[in-house]
Amino acid sequence: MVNTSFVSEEFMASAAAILLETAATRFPQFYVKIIEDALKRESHPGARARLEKMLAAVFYAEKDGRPICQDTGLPIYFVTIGEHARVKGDIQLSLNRGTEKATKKVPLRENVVHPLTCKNPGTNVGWKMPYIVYDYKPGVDYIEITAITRGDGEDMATTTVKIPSTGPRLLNIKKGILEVIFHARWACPPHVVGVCIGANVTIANQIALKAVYRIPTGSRNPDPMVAQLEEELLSTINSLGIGPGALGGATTALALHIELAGCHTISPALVVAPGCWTTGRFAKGRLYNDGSFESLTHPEIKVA
Amino acid sequence: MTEYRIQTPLSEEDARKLRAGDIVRIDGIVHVWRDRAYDHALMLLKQGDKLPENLQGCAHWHCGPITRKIGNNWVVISAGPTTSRRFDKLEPMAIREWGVKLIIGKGLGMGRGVTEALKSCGAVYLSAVGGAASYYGRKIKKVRNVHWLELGMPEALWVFEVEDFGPLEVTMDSYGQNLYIDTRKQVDKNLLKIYRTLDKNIDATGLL
Repeated sequence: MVNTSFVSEEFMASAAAILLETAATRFPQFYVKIIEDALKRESHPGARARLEKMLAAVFYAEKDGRPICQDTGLPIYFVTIGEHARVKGDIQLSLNRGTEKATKKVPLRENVVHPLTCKNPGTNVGWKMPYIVYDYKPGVDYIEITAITRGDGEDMATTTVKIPSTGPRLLNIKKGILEVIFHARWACPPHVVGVCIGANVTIANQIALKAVYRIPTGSRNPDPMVAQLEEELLSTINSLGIGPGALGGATTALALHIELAGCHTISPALVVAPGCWTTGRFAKGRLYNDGSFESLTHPEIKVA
Repeated sequence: MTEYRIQTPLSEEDARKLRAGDIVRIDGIVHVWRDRAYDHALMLLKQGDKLPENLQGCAHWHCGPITRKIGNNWVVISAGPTTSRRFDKLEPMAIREWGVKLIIGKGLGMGRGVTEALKSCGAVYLSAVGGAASYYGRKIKKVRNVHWLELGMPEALWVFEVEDFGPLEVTMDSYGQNLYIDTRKQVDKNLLKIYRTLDKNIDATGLL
């Protein structure tokens, strides 16, 4: 425990490095379990073999400290500032340092390049990267950092669907979600699907992204109407026969998380984000003013 | 379904023995290149230069690995397949002119141009499990060579020495069989059935 009364740059940098390293190399236990459960239900021999290979990759990643998938993505952090958190210093600089440290240590793939010249500094830092998505939480004395390693493929599969302003709304939404899953067959199913119904296209993309990383994965939306829709669509998606790696089977989605948002009177935005099976590459931790740290995804990790 | 342990470089005769559904494990050399390296290779050839590797009979793995230099040697940390459809335009040339006999990738296999090249030259497409890079990374025993590192770690041309590299599944063979298309046909039927359950008056034309 660092004996201070504020969250320092050093603390944030160390936490970011450990969270990013953990995200790339170890799924949360609740996430491993949803793959194990899928394997228990799966009867297609090829699909079983592929799910077993995925679990083997998870095992060796943890054992050797290797990234599960070689595409460790763009470095992205969700940062929630608590009302009573006292942050001293620059959050962006701290997360830059943490990202650079994890990139060297694990190592992560050197993914961040200049968009026009393709110059690669080899640090995963530069030109607004790592990218931070900020949020605020009243009544708490910590800041919360979530590190996500999100491959390019899984992000490219995110799709905005136009919902007509007239006609049967719920039916059009269901069809829209199924169509996106159908077209995302290349993006390493089984998916963890994040969905936003509502808001506008710009906002819905961000809400859908956050929905992918709901904790614990596979939990239901507290709104019973939405929870029922989640269950219905998850089971429908798993009857498509796409399967792991799009080579058949009953495991096309591991989980489906829907978030609603108020929308313009004309029609809601629908954004569907079919995360790949390695969506479990995220780690979340709370940094308290007194220097203590707790992880909500990986209780075993500590920040020195 | 037959299981094979094969050695690279592979002859046309041996490649033609492999059928869709067979399982393959590779010993020998695997060549790794993707987007930037393809552009770079084309530029070199246009200038009249030669490629730095002999690719006759080679295994071309679509992958951008994580590697680390320890002393004078490179080691592979994690390496898994990337989406192969990105190379639909260029892979037929690699099969016909450079002599690629095994393609390793993931996603939905590859397009018609590749199907035709596999048939006429006698080559196959092998599927690896996308995302399982920590698993495949352990099968790479040595980095034999690396070219064009200035393109960046994921984009360089890597030459890996592998042992028991697999299991990989033959999903496109030299007889036009394609397991992705077989699965797709079943998915199309399932999707139509689901649409009709959702709305029995649905107009199914143009849905897929």
